[in-house]
Amino acid sequence: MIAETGHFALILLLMLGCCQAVIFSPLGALMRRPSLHVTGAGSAIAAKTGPWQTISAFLFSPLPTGPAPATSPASSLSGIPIWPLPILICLLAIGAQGSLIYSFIISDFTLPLVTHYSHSSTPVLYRIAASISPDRGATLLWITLTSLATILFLLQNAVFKKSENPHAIIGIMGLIIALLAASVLFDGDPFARMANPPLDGQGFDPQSQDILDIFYSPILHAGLAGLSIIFAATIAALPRARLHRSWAEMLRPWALLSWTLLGAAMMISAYRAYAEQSWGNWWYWDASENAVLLPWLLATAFLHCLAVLEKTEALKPWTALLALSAFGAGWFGTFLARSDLLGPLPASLRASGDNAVLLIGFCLLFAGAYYLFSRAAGYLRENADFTLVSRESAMFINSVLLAVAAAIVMIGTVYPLFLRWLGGTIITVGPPFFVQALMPVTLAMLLLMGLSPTLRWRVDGAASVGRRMKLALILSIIVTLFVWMRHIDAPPLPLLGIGLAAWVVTAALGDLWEKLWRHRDHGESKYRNVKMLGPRYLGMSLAHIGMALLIAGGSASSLWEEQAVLSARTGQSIEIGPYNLQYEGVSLLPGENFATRKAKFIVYRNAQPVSELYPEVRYYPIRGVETKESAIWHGRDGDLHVSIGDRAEDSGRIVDVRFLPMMPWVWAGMLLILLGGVINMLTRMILLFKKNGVPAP
Amino acid sequence: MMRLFRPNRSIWLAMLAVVVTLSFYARPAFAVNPDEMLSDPVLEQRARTISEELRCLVCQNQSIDDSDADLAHDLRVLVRERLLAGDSNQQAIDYIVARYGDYVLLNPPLKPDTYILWASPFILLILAALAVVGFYRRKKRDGRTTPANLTDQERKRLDEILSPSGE
Repeated sequence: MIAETGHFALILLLMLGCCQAVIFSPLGALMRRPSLHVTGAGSAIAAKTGPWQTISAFLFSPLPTGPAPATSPASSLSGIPIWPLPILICLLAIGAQGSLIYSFIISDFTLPLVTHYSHSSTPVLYRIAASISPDRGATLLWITLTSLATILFLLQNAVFKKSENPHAIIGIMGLIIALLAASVLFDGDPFARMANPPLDGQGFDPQSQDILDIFYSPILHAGLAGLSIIFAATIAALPRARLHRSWAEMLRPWALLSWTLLGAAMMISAYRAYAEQSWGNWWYWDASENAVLLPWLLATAFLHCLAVLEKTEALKPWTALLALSAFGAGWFGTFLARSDLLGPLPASLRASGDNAVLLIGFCLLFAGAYYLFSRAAGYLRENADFTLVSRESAMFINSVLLAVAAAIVMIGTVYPLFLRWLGGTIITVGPPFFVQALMPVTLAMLLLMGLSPTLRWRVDGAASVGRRMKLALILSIIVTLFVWMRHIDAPPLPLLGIGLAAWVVTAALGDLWEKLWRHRDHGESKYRNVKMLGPRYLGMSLAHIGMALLIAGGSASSLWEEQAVLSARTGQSIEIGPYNLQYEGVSLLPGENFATRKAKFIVYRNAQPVSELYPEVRYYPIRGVETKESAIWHGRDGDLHVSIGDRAEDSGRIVDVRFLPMMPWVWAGMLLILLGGVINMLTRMILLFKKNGVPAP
Repeated sequence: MMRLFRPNRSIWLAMLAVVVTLSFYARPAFAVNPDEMLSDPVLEQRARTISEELRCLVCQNQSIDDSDADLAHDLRVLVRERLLAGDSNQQAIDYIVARYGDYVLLNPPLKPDTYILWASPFILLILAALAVVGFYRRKKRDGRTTPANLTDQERKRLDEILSPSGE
């Protein structure tokens, strides 16, 4: 009965999403009162004819170029209350989501989704995870979070009144929700009961059975929901070319939020790959990882262009294109990761039914979006009042490089697919391709990243930039030479990565130093100078330094990894890097729904015990799958990564020990990037509340 | 109906124990087992280098050096057999490619099929560079590359605003 209620809620949600799309969207407004929306030639046609002619007039007549007409479509809609539909949709989405989660908790095996991803022995926490992580459950979560984002947007609009055209945005959000709901319902209905239910399910994916992994899906889909608000606001602003400063201000928190969330999702996926696999690699460039990387790259580019637009109203078409593409990449990536087009999916993710409606929805939505963009782009008034040497330029060129990186990732991901369709050979595009193709782009980006915060807006002189950057340049060259002298046989590209990372860090710190101490002569306190830096500055610096640490750590750990695979006996000690590990044997323990062989290692450094590590091999009888849970010690100069295997032929235990120098830098860098986003959002929120007289919580 | 199957805990543990005992006799599954390794460290190092370039056919973008799958194990053994038979690195890779196709190579080989793939980074970079150059040239043509200098009147007004006595 609960499942039927959820089913009904989902169907109702689809209907109401369509209603919301039709009532509030520009197209809906067009059909209701055509002459208000289309000016000039379009309105002349529209006034005389029916809706279809109106639509064709909208599609093919020139867009208005002048100032917005006095009566905007928003005012023609002002009679319709904006709140009820989104709230109703949000409640229905939460209801459908809740009923699916409930069906998983009580293990209702008449639902195919529950049978596919859960088992009566699965712990309750992971039953909930199974209901939101794979397949339709994830899409349903995406809908719920998108509808919550809509409510959040309405709240933002009510408090700050930043949006010119909230109705159109709500309409497009309705369209997105309706398309996603259609995908859930028609791609493989999660609430359709089976006539002959099995006695028990097939179990939760053992690889995902981890606390950290539970948060992956909610964080990722919350990031996508944030991108959908950006998408909708761009579509709403395009027809009348109203991508102004207020538009940018309204989108700024959304861009930050989704950027931070997508980054967090990538970090979780990287750390889980690192801990779950036994070989210390943390990025495989597979479809599901690229599905997050793509929108993250484009969201990063968008974030930077938005800052330029907010400051100087420049780069409008490019910013709009990035806004549309970021969400497009998110949607397409989600589709690719869930389909088996790019090679066999792991058994645990193989879905019931295909994702045809998800793909059709994508094509419809983005064909429309890019068509609108292609027609509106020419009318976007640019105020590109900056020279080649200026902060705008650095940010613009860097955003272009980010987009190029995204395009390379995209081509690398889908190329085997196209080749197969064209009847060519079946090939693999693996990590070596991505690393080789992206390295030059990344290095160029790092170069600009160090430069950009010290540049002045609008105009700067090359000579004065050179003067300011002299110290950072010298320091980073010294660091590179130092590393090169200690490791004379190091290949050039990672070395260059380390050098450029040093450049970014020294430049950021130097700039901070200069900004903090510049006002010293005026007798102002340093604290005041910190406050004067603004909410953005600290977050930006942290994120840039974090990125540099990430690149340096990644380069170094791949270069100087030490590894030993051996058959160990109890009491044996293993030398690796600066550490000495003593193997203390394996014990067999029952877990909640698995059995585990847990080994004990005592880690010594300079004959002092520093830690104990417990790598495991778990056996999940339901799926008959073994997983390896590596144990990791984050030392100050590197990660110690230990995993165990089965018994060797000489009856010892197979042990894989790795020392990855500077690997903690990678994790610290990722955390700093996230922290940068969070700090930026928090300070911004506090400032906003202060400015608007709303008491800060 | 919903909870037909609900094992009680002791039965469950007993079952686990059985399964675990059985699993001890299962094939060892581990990326690069010591038993697979060659005694000659030079040959072994060459085998590792080759393995890192070959794809585990049933995994997602993992090399056979990284994979636990049985198929990856078989390929690792095959690579080592070829090396023992006196093949060079390239001969060993060719041997495997001849049997499994280009699909097995993680780094796509440069051939007519993949020209577009390998050219794409360069093409994209050139297009991006052209677009950026075009942007700046258009801006220059439209004039106003640098903000106009202040007029004397504006400068005077600015001095008034900025001078401390103006407060």
